[in-house]
Amino acid sequence: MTIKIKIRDREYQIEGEVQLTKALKHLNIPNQSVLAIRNGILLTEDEPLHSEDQIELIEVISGG
Amino acid sequence: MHCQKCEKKASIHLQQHRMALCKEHFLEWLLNQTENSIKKFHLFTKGERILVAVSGGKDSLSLWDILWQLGYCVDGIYIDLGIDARIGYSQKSRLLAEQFASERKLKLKVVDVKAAYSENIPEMTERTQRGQSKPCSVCGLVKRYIMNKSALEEGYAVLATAHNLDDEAAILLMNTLNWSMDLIRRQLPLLPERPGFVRKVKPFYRTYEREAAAYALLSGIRYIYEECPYSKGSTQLYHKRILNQIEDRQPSVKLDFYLGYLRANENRMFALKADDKENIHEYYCANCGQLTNRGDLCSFCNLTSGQKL
Repeated sequence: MTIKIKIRDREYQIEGEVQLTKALKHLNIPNQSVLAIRNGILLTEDEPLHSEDQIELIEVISGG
Repeated sequence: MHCQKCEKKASIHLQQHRMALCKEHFLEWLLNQTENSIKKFHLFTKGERILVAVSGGKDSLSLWDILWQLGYCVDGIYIDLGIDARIGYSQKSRLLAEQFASERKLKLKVVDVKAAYSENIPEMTERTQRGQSKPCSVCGLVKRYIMNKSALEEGYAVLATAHNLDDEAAILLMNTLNWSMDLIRRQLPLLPERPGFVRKVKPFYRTYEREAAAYALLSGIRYIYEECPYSKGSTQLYHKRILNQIEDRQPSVKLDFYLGYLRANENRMFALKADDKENIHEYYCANCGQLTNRGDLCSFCNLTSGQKL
């Protein structure tokens, strides 16, 4: 019963239910650097994540 | 979290503006914000022809879409740099730019660097050893030259690039850490036209990179998600990451940093003294006629005429 969080080619797993903002903090990913998508829907950071959710984080910073 | 305007479920929370918006209201808000940014600095008008520099990434395609939606007369230019790096980077990004233009029936000019100058960017870099195998400096030089040349030759009033607030804040941070006053002085949303130099503008100067990405995702714009293979480990990315860590603790710090700079600039905090002005010399390249700060050939003509820089 885990939440799967994917960012590019990395995948993380978090146990139990947690708010998106807390999951990002746990993974040390600044909220400003990503957009989170679940089932094609953009999530705000207060969104609760549930067991078996698959979250894709889209990195938003680029440049050289 | 609910949309501040209609109470629907919000798609995005803009901490820096203390505002949450649903998809429809966010897309409308970013259009209005871009229009306000254009008007605030008189970047261009509805009657002027605009050339927007397009890379196939989220920022430039979102900017092109927004300017088009706002009713500006805007064409695109894509520069094929010939970067492959085993992922077909240029090929993919070119295809996305072409698809974007074709779906909207917009005009896109494509300049293939290798076809025009016999070498692509990695080849130029290897030959000149400029940048110690990192092509970013050659790439920047070539892109700036081609964009300016194309805009001038084809009679555009203005060249628009999709530099966003995160770009501007990161560059300002770097220039401030180095106290590069000549660069700080020029980090403005508008650089006016001069002989040999088209007006350059940055309509996204107050748009967060996250907002540009959200606009692309929510409006279904397909963009190249892969990072330029050569940008990995770049100082600009490092500064952006640090600024985002600060922004998470201190919402709107990036916006305040850049807008504070613009206010300071308006108050002539960085203005040149009369003595300094006398020491600035500008020349025109003997080969192409573009503005340069050195005599004889400009850096681009030196690069393409086989010189080691």
